[in-house]
Amino acid sequence: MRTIKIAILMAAMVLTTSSQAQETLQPFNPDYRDVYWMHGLNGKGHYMQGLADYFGNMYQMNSYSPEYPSTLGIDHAANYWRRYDFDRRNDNFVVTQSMGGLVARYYDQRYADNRFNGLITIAAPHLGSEFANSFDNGKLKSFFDGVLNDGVEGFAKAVVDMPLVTLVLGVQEKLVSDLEKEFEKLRPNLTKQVDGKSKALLALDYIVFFMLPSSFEWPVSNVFARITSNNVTKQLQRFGITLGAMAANTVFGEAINGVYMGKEELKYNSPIVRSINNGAPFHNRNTINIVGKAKDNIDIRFLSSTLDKDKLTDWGRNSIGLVKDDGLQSFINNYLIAKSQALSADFSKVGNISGWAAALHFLLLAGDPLATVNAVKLLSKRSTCKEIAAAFDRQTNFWRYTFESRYETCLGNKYYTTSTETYYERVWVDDGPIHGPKPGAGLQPGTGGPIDFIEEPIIGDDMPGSSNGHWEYIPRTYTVTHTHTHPSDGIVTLPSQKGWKEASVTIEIDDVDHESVKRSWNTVKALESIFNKKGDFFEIPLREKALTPEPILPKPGKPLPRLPDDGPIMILE
Amino acid sequence: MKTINRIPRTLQTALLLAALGLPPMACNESTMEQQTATELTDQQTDRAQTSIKHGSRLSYTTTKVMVSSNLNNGAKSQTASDALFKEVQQVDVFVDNEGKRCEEFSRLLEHSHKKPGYDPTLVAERTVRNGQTMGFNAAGRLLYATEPSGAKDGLSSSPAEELLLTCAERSERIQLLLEQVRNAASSDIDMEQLSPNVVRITVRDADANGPTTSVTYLNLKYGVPVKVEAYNSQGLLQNSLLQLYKLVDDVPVLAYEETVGYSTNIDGERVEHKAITHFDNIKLEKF
Repeated sequence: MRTIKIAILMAAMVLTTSSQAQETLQPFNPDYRDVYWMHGLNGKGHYMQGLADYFGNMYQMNSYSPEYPSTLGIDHAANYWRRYDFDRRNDNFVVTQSMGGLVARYYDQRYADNRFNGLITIAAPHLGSEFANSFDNGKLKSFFDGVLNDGVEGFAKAVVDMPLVTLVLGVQEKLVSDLEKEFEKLRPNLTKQVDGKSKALLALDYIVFFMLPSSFEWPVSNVFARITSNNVTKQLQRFGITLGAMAANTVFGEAINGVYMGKEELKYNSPIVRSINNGAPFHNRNTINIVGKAKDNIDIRFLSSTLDKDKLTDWGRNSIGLVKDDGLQSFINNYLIAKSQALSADFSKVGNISGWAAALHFLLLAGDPLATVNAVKLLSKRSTCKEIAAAFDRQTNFWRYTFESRYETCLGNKYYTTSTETYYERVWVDDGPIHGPKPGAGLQPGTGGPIDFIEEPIIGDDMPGSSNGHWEYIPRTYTVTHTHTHPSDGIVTLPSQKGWKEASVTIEIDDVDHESVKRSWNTVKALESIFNKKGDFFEIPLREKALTPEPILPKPGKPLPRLPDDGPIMILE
Repeated sequence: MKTINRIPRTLQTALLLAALGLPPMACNESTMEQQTATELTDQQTDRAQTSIKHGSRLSYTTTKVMVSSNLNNGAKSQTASDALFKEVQQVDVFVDNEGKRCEEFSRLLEHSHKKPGYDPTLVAERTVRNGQTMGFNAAGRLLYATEPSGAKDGLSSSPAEELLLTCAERSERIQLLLEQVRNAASSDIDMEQLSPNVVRITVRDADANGPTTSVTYLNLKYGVPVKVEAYNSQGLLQNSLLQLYKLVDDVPVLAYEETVGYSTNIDGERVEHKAITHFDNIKLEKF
């Protein structure tokens, strides 16, 4: 096996160093400039192929999107780049995404003998990414813990009141029981120690589609929530590590000997990032920095696109401009928000005073002792129903605001201010022991017993009655931390993306996240403006006739040949 | 008070459930996804207007604060920097003269976590008609809708007349309730007269984890429930609801509500969740 690997490696080196053997749809034209489209960390050649093909078909360029080992460190990657024939002409240039920008700058500082003469970076973490730090400082784990703690709380709580639900839905018990059994069959997958990406993604599917009621009606979801709270949550606590590993795998690639090189190097202001920024500037002024900025819920969209990445067999290729939707996670978020609000509204009806009065009305109409008992039992659940409603409110807040806010914390693109806020509670204050001590007294220290305040549940200026206590507003003061967010593309903040001092031009594009920037129309437009600019280094004439009339057509997925995953060297196609 | 003893039990249950606003499906997803532009326009047109011509209008503002605290070693600490949520709403409740129909409209005045600019997921308006709650964002887009009460069985919504009963009328009904409970002599329900004005009802029930107990305190003088507490099988307080009132034309109108619940977080710590609502600027008028 080892011999074969070496042979393949040697063959690959021969191929890649001796010719421009990277896959391209355009025939090689020696009179055209070479443009290299370089992917980022944990990328594949086809990730940039959408852009490479689009511009290769439209413009007079030889367009390449080679694949290089990107998870072994910037130095290793730059060394690997030496095999490319950058200086075939003196006006070739490189377009990079994400970490590719740092590799390109590092390469320019180290290897003057085979230089490319222009560099366009897209969404590069020029100063590093706090997201990488988040894995080690516990922010990411805390984020995933929060999803379990608060994100599923309302649904788990609803199950507390299952008898109330089954009273309504008794006929569905069998369905529910069948689904429980079905889930039990699937559950062992979760119990395995998951360290591979595919298994981790599978597990994430469980969280998304089973723990959270996104694809089932609510009574069924309640069952899953119950199973979650009873059986799965404990495993998921351990699973937090797995989620972190999954994120690390997805973003940084496989660990080599337990080390995610990309994670270490891309930490904010890491030694290599510092050395690149403190080293020699790019050897000429042909430098453009494209900076991606997202809408407000970009973080969620980033998660979505990243976690969906492996499901896109045609990722990059032919998918230019197809970034229209908000992605899975955003959909789930909005769904959960709407669902939580609806459930809150339903449960609060029971707790409301009008619900009480209405029940009383029908109860008296019915005049049946058994109905009375059932009604009183239902009415006794008013506090539970109200609390469930409140739990759904909390969950609404979580998915509307907190989830995103906590993810942003992982990016490190936040700064904080604090203020003091006060809210008021009504507290019964004892005015003296007129009635003597009451059994069960002492709801609040120094206050009367339950009888007193239930005797006088009336508040206001004209408080009637002659009890030995009164209601008072009691202020509760909290120090509230306000969070403010720097813009980002969902993984790299704007300050970091703009951290390339010698970039002669910086172009800001909106509404892209770190992944979708590779296939967004906004990127295409930015690049077109660069290539069309008369007299500029990057000006490239259009082909007289585009090689394909509709280069952006989303063709049916033609999966790329799978590359061997068992070694650090990726063979070019 | 007329009584109808021959109503089949299934219908009684249906009536009760309808009264309690407990439809089988809590969220009507298709409403969200199958909205057409025309439907939205129609809803936008009438979502803030009552169809009731003559009746009573109860209006107030609600200030709701939700806060979660860790209960470690008896001390409270805020669980997270964003754990305090606050929203202020203007609410108008319309009840027709016959007491049969009730419509409620709420408008969001303030939210502590509103994002800058247009926030599509934030509910800016709520309407309740026929027991169906609908939430709209600031652009009038329907965000969610619950099933209308009685949609399946053809029953109308909860009787609106109960909302504006005076203390004396409420008290009379509660006395009737107590009498029926007494007659039923259920071993699951205990009633205790704590004082001439206060009755405590203890209900024993069970959930998946074992027996549960809930305690309801009723005030006979004003005819209102004041406090409900639910305990789990270990006797730990699970949640409680406190409701206080103001008298408007001898009608007890909800003026303060406090829901307290507890949960255990991933680190095994007990967390207290409070939701406190103040009802201010209460007005009751005929129209």
